[in-house]
Amino acid sequence: MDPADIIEEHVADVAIIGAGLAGLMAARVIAAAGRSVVVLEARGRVGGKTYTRLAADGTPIDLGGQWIGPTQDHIEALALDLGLKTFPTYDTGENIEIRQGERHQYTGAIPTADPQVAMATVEMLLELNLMAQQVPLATPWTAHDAASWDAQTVQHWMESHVQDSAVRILLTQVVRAVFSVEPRDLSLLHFLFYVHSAGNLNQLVSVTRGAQERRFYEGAQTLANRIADALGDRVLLDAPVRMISQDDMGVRIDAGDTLVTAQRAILAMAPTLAGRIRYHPPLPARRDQLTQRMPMGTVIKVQCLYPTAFWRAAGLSGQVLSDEDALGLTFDNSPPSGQPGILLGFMEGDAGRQWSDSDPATRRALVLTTLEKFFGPAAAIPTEYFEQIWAREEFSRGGYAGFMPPGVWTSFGADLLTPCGRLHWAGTETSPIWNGYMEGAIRSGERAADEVLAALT
Amino acid sequence: MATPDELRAALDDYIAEARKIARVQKALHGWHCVIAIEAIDNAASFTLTIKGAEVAVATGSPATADVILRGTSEDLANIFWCDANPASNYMQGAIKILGSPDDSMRLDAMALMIYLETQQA
Repeated sequence: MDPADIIEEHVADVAIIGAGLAGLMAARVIAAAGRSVVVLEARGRVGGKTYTRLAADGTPIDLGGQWIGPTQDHIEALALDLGLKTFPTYDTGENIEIRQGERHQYTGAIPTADPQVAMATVEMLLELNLMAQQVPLATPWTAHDAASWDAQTVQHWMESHVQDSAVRILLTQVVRAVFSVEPRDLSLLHFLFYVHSAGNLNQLVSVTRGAQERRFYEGAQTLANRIADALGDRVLLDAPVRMISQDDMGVRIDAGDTLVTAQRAILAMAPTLAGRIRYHPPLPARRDQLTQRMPMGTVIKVQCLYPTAFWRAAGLSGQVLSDEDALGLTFDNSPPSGQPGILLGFMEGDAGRQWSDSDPATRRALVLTTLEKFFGPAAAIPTEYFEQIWAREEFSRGGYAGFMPPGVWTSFGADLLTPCGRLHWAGTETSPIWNGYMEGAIRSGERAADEVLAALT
Repeated sequence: MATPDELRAALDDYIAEARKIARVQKALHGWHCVIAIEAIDNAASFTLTIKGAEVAVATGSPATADVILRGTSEDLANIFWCDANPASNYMQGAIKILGSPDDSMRLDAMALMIYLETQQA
């Protein structure tokens, strides 16, 4: 970099790259410890994969991460500290299941219209939960069956262990809903690690008593906004980092017209994003290879606003699980008042891949046709429409999180957390607890901050 | 509201059902858990002890419980009589399960399996 190009130069104890929840939490902890910190954020906003916009009437619309649930204690504590309150996700009435050409209504996390299928589903979930408990959260690659589980995809396991086609469909939908990928993409070991990391599959897929239980009144991005507000001018926006150099003296971070020098740096981002930065000296081979092997899931999040949550009067919860529609999963995402009524839908995995680059009008028409099929003609006429295509976000590259295909945990697992000289790693992908969730991001920021504080001179 | 005697009778029926169902017995295998069942509206309490697929019930609270299952006597009775789906949106909110995620998951699985089996019968 030509010194003449530098407009801003900052010196701090710690530089943090990424102002999502992980990076901001790390900065909060480091600042609270009395050390100086600078956060560099590529986007013109903070929050990472939490992103809240406002509808015309001011209703917060979460276009990214939005839910918290039981055992997510760190985000709960943070919210309390920031004065942010939550409300329960609407979970009353019957859910709709469309499977193998038939429409059923049911209540609860598991479709029970066919008791035989439901029984086989419960048995499968129990088996997977018990397998998941065998995965050590800090070192998944040391599980007794790690070699075998990491050599196969969830699809492979499903084909050899699940006989009933309806149960296979349900597991496929679970994988899409939780990871936004297909079962063929995902290492069985990573799936089991992730399940254990959240507690169990029931918690992952449930609304009440599960990961989708509550939402923030003001939107989930408010967490990041409030932390950033407190950090003030220590958060630098529109500063995409191009290169990181390190030597015995410290680290030097080049973000275009901004230069930051620090003792240590925390890279608080998905591994694949860290792979887009140049390093001097280059990253160790294993770490660099890891960044090539943790792709992001593919999800499009769509929300349609209506004057009221009209489906509630029909006894419907707003939750749909469909095996024949690109918009395969929906929820009632209305505010507590039910006004406006908001239907939230996801296109995940293959559907996300098929529709991410399509013409917006065609995609919108597909969404509305699908919602009309689920909820009737009123669903075809929203007053407002929001969509977020995470795979088209340059500084996210997808969502919900980076995942591991087969072979990655057992070959590179130890490199996920190991600092590279003065560079430390944060991001929800590095968390042993609630990996992939906002809770995991916050925990990873706290852990990385503790790591760095212990290393500072 | 269900009386304590009615709740106990429902629980006895429930346990008898659990013992009859091979798939439930398989699911319980290897699980050791003491469950306190508490009705919030009539102070009835029971202890369900699960040890390696053996299930026993006693009136009164255990000295220490791994899991506490708490709800109104009517909601609890509806579950034990298999009149209500324990995994329903309503029951998930109405019945509180306090305990580790692992124990809660096992209890959920057992309850849903017993319910589903009775639906098929």
